[in-house]
Amino acid sequence: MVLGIASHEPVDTLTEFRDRFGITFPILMDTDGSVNGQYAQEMAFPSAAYPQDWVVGTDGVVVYANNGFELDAMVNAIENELRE
Amino acid sequence: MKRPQNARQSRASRAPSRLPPPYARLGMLAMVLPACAPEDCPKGSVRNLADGLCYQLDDGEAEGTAGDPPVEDDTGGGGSGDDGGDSGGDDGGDSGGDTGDPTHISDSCEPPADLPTDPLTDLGAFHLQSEAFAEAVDIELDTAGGVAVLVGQGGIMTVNVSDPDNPTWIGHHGDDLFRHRFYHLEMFPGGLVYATNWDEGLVVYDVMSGPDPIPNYELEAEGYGGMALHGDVLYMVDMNNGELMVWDVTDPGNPVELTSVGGLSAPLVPILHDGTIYVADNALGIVVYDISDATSPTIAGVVDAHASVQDLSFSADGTTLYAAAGGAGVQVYSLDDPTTPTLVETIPLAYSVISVDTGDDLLWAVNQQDIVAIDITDPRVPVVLNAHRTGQWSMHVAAAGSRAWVADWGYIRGYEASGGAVGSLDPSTDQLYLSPEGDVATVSLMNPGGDDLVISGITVSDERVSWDLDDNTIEPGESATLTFSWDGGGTLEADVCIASNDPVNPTLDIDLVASADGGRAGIGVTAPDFVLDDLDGRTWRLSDLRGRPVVLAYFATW
Repeated sequence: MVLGIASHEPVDTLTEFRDRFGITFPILMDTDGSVNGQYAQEMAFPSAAYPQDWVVGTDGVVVYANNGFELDAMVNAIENELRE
Repeated sequence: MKRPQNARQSRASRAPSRLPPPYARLGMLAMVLPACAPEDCPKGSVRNLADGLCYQLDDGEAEGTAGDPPVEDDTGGGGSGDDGGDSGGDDGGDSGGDTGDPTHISDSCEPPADLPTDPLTDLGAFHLQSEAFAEAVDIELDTAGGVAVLVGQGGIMTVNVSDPDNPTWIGHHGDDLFRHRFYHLEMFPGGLVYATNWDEGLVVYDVMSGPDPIPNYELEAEGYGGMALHGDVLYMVDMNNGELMVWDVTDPGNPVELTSVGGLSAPLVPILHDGTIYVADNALGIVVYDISDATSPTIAGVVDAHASVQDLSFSADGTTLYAAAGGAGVQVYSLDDPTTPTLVETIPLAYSVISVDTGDDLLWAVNQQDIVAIDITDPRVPVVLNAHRTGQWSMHVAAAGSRAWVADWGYIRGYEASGGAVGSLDPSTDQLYLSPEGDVATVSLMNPGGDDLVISGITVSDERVSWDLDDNTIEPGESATLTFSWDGGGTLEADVCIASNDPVNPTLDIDLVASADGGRAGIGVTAPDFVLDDLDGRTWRLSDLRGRPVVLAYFATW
């Protein structure tokens, strides 16, 4: 399950973006930035810039987080969860 | 708004000596053992490659390392007294040749007495977001250095920087937050500014006729990127089509496209010198064009940088090319053969480098975290002086003389550099969340500075937490890992204090927190729940998805 999250961006912009890049997963609108405050800010990252990828395990616990795109590491984290 | 204010500065402002005396001895005592060869270091200790000494980083209690030499009784909280005694004669025969006091980690958080002088000075700043929705991504200075022009999602902004300690707002154009996704700008002599924009193509502004820039030419187009001006000819990259465009700007208010040549893939910025154009191409590396015929560029070569090249700058004498090469750092190329840049040096920096610029004998780099000052008195032998964390995200740098101005998303700030290299302490976080059931968690201590960073003291204000540091001397661009362990049991609010030879933050605090509600998200912590609507009107609650792994992809459209 992949959920895209964007903060502080209007519907039109996001819809155009989704269509332009053919995104099929749900794009969630964090219009007021409250989820951004929980996840995207002040995290244990060297940089708090976008994009950030989080993997939440089957028990709801975060098992992976990064703000650089590391496909292999993320796939490993997901596969570990699916094995458990 | 998207990133906290300068975390390092806020930490530095806290009182470093607030720990009550009983806590001062509770950090894991690191004691210096007699100098020895690597293989001779007793079990449970490690040799510090910097000074050749063995260090025991545990107190022998947490890990139960039988056979460790006894740890001295530190009753009384005065770790510093022991340290001086230990270091006395032991290092005399040390093969490492370090004849000074070996630096080791004491159980106090007193900064070293002989701190170096910081070669990097913060000048004045202006909070762009107090006047406009800034999100600045490019900055240029007028030739006199008195006016800075910035572009970003907030449109085009002008700031008076003639008094470097007190930059002041002049004006801006463009309020339509998400329709002004500017990329790059180029200043013309006389007050015209070219700006390229995702949605609007090319806009030419007059920034001198009044406080607010006036758009007096607009060309609707997509994918226009960076520009380089050469007399009456302007070169501009077309990001969508991978082309270098050539424009006649004899009348700067009315540019005319002459031709375009291909050969690019993901071009960002062209720069030119002496009949040659170098294009930073995010996919290809550095693409070289011969412009001995100014209006008819021909490809002269492609340098595979094996890195994401995002910006370029020349040394003052034109012999050397510097590339902002993403995670690879700053690459230094010889231009002895102008059409075949040859890599002679790579400067690794702690974060991904996105912009470089040169002024006099200084090279400046930014990386969405820091501004880094690099001495290039010898252009081929760069010396990193120091790095400062900027207010928000450092996006672009423009240099003039010994100063540089940084477009920092929400701020513009000036910097000045002179002097020798120093170390800098930059922890990966200043707040670490531990599981209330017990946890082992790490903080990465990075050194974005230019000299060795030496961690000299660590204290933790709660004796239930033990710590371990894998190396107390951190070379430039490297990091060490500080590990915290606790067995759990209730809540935890502990202060960690780290003393080092960082002249900006000689003592620095990290908060350790464990509470049942989890605080903010982090690895090993239950993901904070949320309820959000998607674009199709469906409502998603994260906790409803338990039982399967969920990928949360945070992104922005810009």
